[in-house]
Amino acid sequence: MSALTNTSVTMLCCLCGTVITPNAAAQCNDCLASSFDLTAILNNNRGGDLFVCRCKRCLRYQLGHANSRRYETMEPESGELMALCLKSIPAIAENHGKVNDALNAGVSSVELIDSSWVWTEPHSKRIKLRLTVKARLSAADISIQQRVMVTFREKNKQCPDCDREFTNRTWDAIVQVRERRDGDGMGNIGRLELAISKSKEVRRRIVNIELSKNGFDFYFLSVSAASSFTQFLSRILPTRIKHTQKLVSADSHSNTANIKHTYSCDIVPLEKNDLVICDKKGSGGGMGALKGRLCLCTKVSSNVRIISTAPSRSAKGEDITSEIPQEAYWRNEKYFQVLLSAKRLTEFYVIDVDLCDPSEEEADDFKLADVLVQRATDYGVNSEFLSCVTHLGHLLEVGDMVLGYDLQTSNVVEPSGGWGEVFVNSFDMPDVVLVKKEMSGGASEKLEEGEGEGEATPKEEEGEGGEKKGKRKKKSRRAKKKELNDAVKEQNGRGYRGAKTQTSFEDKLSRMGFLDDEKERKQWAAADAEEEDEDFLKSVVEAENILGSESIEAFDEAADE
Amino acid sequence: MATRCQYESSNEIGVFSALTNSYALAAIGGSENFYSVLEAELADHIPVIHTSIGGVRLVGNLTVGNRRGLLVPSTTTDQELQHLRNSLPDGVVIQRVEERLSALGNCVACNDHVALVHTDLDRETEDIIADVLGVEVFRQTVAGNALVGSYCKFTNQGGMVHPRTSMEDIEELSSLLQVPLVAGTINRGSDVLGGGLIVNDWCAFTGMDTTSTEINVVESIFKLQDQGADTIVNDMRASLIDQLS
Repeated sequence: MSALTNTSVTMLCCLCGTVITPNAAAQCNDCLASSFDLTAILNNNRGGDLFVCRCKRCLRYQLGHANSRRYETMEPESGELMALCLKSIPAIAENHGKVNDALNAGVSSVELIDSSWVWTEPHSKRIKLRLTVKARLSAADISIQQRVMVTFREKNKQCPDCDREFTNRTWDAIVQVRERRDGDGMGNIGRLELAISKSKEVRRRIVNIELSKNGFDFYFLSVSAASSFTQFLSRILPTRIKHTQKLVSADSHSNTANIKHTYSCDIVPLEKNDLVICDKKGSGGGMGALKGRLCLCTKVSSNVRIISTAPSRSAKGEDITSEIPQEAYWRNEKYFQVLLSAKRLTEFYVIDVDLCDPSEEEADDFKLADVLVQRATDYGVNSEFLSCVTHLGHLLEVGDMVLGYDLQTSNVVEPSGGWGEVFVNSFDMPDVVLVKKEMSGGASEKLEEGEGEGEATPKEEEGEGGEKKGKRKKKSRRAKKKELNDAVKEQNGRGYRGAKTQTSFEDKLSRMGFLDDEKERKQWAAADAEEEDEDFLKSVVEAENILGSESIEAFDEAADE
Repeated sequence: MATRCQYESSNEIGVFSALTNSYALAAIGGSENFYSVLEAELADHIPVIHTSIGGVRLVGNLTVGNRRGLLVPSTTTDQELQHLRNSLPDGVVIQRVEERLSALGNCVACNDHVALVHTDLDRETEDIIADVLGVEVFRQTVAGNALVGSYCKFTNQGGMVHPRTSMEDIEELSSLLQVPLVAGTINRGSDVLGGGLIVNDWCAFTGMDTTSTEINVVESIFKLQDQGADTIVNDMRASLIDQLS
C-alpha cells in the first residue's frame, strides 16, 4: 500500500445520505449543526445548573470563585451583573473557551458572540440571558452559531460582613469616644460624625457603632484598626487617648490569649466660639499670657486655639492668642471653665470701626479694632451703644451685623469670691465680646434703606446725603478727583493716626469702581501728585478736628465743603 | 436482508457473535433475546451455536472462521472445543491456535477465499489460517490500523472499510479481495465495523443505532436486497430498451 498518496474517499452521511468526505461523526455539516444543541452544554455547570450567589440580607452578589469573600452591589440587568453571569458559565469561562468537560464532548471551543437580558420577575430568583454562541465542533471542521437561553439561579449565601454581624463578640477592640461637657452643645462630636461620614476608608473598618452617654462606642475587628482610628481622631479633635486591655481567655498550651482592647478617647470639651474663663490659678501650661483672662475659643483641631476677649490695644499676636495642646488642657482641666457657649450668641450692628493699629500688615487671622456696636434688638429703639476691643477688625465694616456675647445682659454665674478670684487684676470684664461676622449682609441693607427717611440714624442728622449722591453720579474728571479726596478723608475718619500708603488708597478706589483700569490709575497718580499731598495734609488736620463727632458721614461732608 | 438487534442493550453485536455462510456463534447471555433474533433468521439454513470462549462471552472478538473452518484461541477450554465440534456442521474444521494475539476476530478478516491478517501475526498462525480456512492470506492494514478484523468487514459479495481509508488503499484492497469495497460506518457513525456488524452472503445483523442510510449502504454493498420479480423485470426492461434504441 502506498503511504504517499492519500486521496480521501467519499461516504454517505449516516443520517441524510448525502455524499460527504468522511469525518469523525460520519455526518454532513447540516446534520451536525441541526442535531447539535448548545443549550445543554451552556446550561451545564459540572452536572448541576447554573447559579450566582447573592447575600439575602444585603442583596450583594458574590464575585469570583465559590469561596470568595468579595461581594458587590449590582443593579438588575446591569453590565456588571451580566459579566458576573457570563463568568459563571463554565463552557464560556473556563480554559479560554476550550471545553474539556466530558459532558461537552463534540465541541472543541465555545465563543460568545452576543448576550442580552431576558426579563424575569425579581422574586423568581432567576436570571435569564439570551446568548448568541459560536461553537467549534470537534467532529468536523465547522463552526455553528446558535441563540441559546441560559438560566441562572440566585443562590442565597450570607456574605462575610452580614455573617459577622450575626456572630457574637467578633470585635477585638473598642474605641470609646466621649466629650464630657455639661449642658448644651456636642459640637465636637458633630464634627467627628461629619469627618467619619466623609471618609469611606475610616467607615469601612468600623464593625459597629453604639450610642452612649456623652459619645459613641466604635467597635473594630483588630487592634490596629482601632489604633489607626484613634490616630484619625486625634488629628481632627484634641483628644486624650488611653489604651487598656483586658484578658478574656488564655490558652497556655498553644500560647494564645484572647484580649479585649479598649481605647478611651476624651475630647477636650471646648468648642469653637465658647467663652472660656482661664483661671489665674492655672499652672500656665498652654494658657500663656492669657492666664487669668476671659478668652474666646477660635479654633478646635488637634489643639485648641484661644484669643483674649479684652486685649489691650497695642497687644501683638502672642499676647492675646494661645494654642492649648490637649495634654496641657488635661493638666489644667479644672482651671478652664466655659462661661457661655454658641447658643447664647446675640446679634449686634456695627456702628463704628476703628483699627487700633492701621499700620499693621494684613493679618490673616485677626486685627485689633475699637468697635462701637448696638444690639440688634435696640436698633431703632434707643441709642444705647456698646464699645469693645475686638480681634475682628479685619472683617468688620460699618453697618455689618456681628454675633457676639452680650455680657451686660447675660445671666452669668459669678464665682463666690467675685471675678477677682479667677481673673488677674489687670483684666477688665468687657461689655460685649464679638465672635463672628454674620455673612447674610442683612444689616447693612437695612442701614442703606434707612438713609432716605428716619431721624434715628446718625447719618441722616446731617441731612445732605441726597446732594452728595447727586454729585457722585456725574463722574466727571473733577468729580472723580473729589471722590479720591473724600476717600482719603474717610480713611482718616476711621481712626487714621499715621501716614497711609498710596497703594492702599488706590486699592480701595479700584474696589469702589472709580479707577476702572490700570492705565487710568497711573494717569491719575501722575496728574494729581502735588495736589494730592496738599489735600492729604488738609484732610488729616480736618479729620483730627472733627474726630469727636460720632458720624462718619460728617467727615465726608466737611471735606466737601 | 439486514436486521437491527442488540446484545443485552449493547449495539456492538459483532463482539458477542460471529456469522459465516455455514454456521453462527452467539455468546451465552442473561437473556435469549439476541439468540432468538439470530435463530429466527438463520435456523432454517445454518446452526446457531451457543458458546463461550475460555469462559468469556466475547465470541466474535476471539474467533475467526468461514464456510470451511473455525479458529479459536488457545484460551478455549477442551469442553468448549468439544461442544463446538459437536455443534458445527460436518464439513467445518475447528482448530485451536497458539497465538500471542489471541483476539483472532480483531486480527483477522476473511471471506471464503481471502483473509487479511494483522501484520504482527505469527508465521505458523498464518499457515494455519491458510490451511484450515482454505484462503489466501495477506498481511494488511486498514486506514493505517493493524486491527483489520475491527475496521473492515467483507463477504464473498462485497465489503466495507473504515471511512478514513484512502481511495488508493481501497482500490488495492479491492483488487486483493476481488470484491467491491466501500467506506462506511455503522451504529450511527461508528467506524468499528467489525463490532457493529455481522454478515454473510445472504443476511446481515447490525446494532440497533444503525441509521437507515447505513442499512442501505450495508444491503447494497453486501448485495442483500430481495432480488424480487419487479427488480429483475425492471433491470431487464432497462437493458432491453437500451439495446433496442
